[in-house]
Amino acid sequence: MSPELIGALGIALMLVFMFLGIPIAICMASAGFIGLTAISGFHGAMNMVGIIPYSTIAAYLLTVLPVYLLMGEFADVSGLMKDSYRAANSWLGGLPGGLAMASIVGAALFSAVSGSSMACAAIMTRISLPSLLDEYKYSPRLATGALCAGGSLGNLIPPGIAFVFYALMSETSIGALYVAAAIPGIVLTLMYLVQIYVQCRLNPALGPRGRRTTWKEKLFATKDVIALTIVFGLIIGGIWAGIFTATEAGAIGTLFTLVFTIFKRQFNKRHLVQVLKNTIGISGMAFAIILGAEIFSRFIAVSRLAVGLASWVLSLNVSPITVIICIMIVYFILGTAMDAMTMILLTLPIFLGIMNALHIDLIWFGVLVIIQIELANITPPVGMNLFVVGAMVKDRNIPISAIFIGVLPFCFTMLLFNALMVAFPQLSLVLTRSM
Amino acid sequence: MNSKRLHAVFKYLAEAVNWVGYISISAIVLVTAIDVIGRYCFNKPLLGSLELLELLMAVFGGFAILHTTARRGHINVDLLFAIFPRRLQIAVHAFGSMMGSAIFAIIAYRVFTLGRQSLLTRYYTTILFIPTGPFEIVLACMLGLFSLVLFVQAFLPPSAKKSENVEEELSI
Repeated sequence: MSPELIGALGIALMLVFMFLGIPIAICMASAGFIGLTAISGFHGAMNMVGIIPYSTIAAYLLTVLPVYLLMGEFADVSGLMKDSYRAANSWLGGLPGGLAMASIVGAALFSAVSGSSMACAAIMTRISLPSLLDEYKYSPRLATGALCAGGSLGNLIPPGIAFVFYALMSETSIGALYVAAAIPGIVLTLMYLVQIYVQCRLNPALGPRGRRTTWKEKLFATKDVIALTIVFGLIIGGIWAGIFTATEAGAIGTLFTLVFTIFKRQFNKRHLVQVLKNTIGISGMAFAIILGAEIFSRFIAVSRLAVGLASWVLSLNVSPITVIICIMIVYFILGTAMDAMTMILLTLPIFLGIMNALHIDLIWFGVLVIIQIELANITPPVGMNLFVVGAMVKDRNIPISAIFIGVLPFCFTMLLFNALMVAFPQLSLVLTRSM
Repeated sequence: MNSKRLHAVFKYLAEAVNWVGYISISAIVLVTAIDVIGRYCFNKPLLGSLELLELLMAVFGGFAILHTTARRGHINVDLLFAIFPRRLQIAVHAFGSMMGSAIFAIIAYRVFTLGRQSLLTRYYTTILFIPTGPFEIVLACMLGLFSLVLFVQAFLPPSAKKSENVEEELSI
């Protein structure tokens, strides 16, 4: 049996394991190890996987993950999310659909210190849902759709955790990826706002205007997000200017959010233990997946499947942009039925080979991949943000189908945004090229 | 000792050694911050900070994986699993745990032998001259325990129902 065929069978085996419900880390490690054994024999496989755990985990690049998770946890207990929502609400609440817009902006602001889409969607749902549905009687479809979409900014706006996975697998600079994602994150936020505004202008019942605030109230609420702006500025500005590496920026940001938590009098033993425990729990889950993904990637590399596919794509003589569009379509189709992280871990070892062969900028491709992750998170019927928001509104008798319908306009906006990012790579590369 | 009790012991141990994780993650942040502050404020970066961070990550990473496993915190695609009959769920869970246990036992063994080799050949870091062998062995031990916990979990039923509280589920 040729190594390429073993590679293809290995992918099929991993998919079977995954859909059986076996933890992703075990699926990837097992399929990878079995595949390596089939190609190189048991001892060869053992030698190859033996060096992976230490070289993967004891790596400077990976320190970025727990550091940013810790920062996000401190930001959560300090109440930064609530502050950012309040500030956004004071500026946008008076517009048609203003509260839904405030949820989006609040999520965008919080995403500047947190890197998880699901956490972002869950926290924003907890904070803004009562005022959206009870106080201002928003359409449940628009409200839940906006909350799912707000969560989708969690990974795109730096520091997103998915970028760490991508950086590890593609061996690209995490700092450059963060800088590259800054403008796209802002553009997507603005596009969501325009979409909500247009929706509510066409059908005012979807999202009535909220209370108008005075300038004094606006300014008073804005002071609460100064800390958040400083942290974001420190991270992105520091990396862009070459002052910090991504890990250093994260460590400084973590210290800053810790000081802010103390300043807000939210620092106590219970919160500290909760913050550390959550960081360890999520890090452990991520490390295990990264370990599994590294073993699986090694198997794909040894099978030469990616190289074979890349040669085949090159032989087709199609333009790189056509290949990118095809990959985006594949991701979109997979994203409707597959969990985002699974989809990326499964496809990256293959697609990265093709990207390298076509000399496509891996930073730009990374931003496109993360956009696809976020699109997959909100595309029905399988999208983690949909499930998170769905579970949190279950007691309000809002069916999941209402969330599916409500999120569709946001999916279209994101598709449009994706097309924009493919058509104008400068949007993501202008800052990285000036680094 | 039955497997349920053994699992409870592992869980207790994982909770008890949490402080190793707490200290190592705090140290990672502190070492990085001291290096940056020293570099820009006093023109004296922390010597060998990169090496320290890598060694700390070996400890933190190993403990974090064990902690998550003991708390059954690894993610899976439960789209089909959720609709399987209970007996099939138990069988799949046992198969997955056994397979994971076997693979990670092999990996742990290999990491251990490499760590022992590093100790025997006196492999040190280049700046601070810290031997890397003990850290490789710590990681191997954690992976070995990870494999053992998976083995024990194979004899326990999969959690029938996920938490209703989404935020609890996401640990937020």
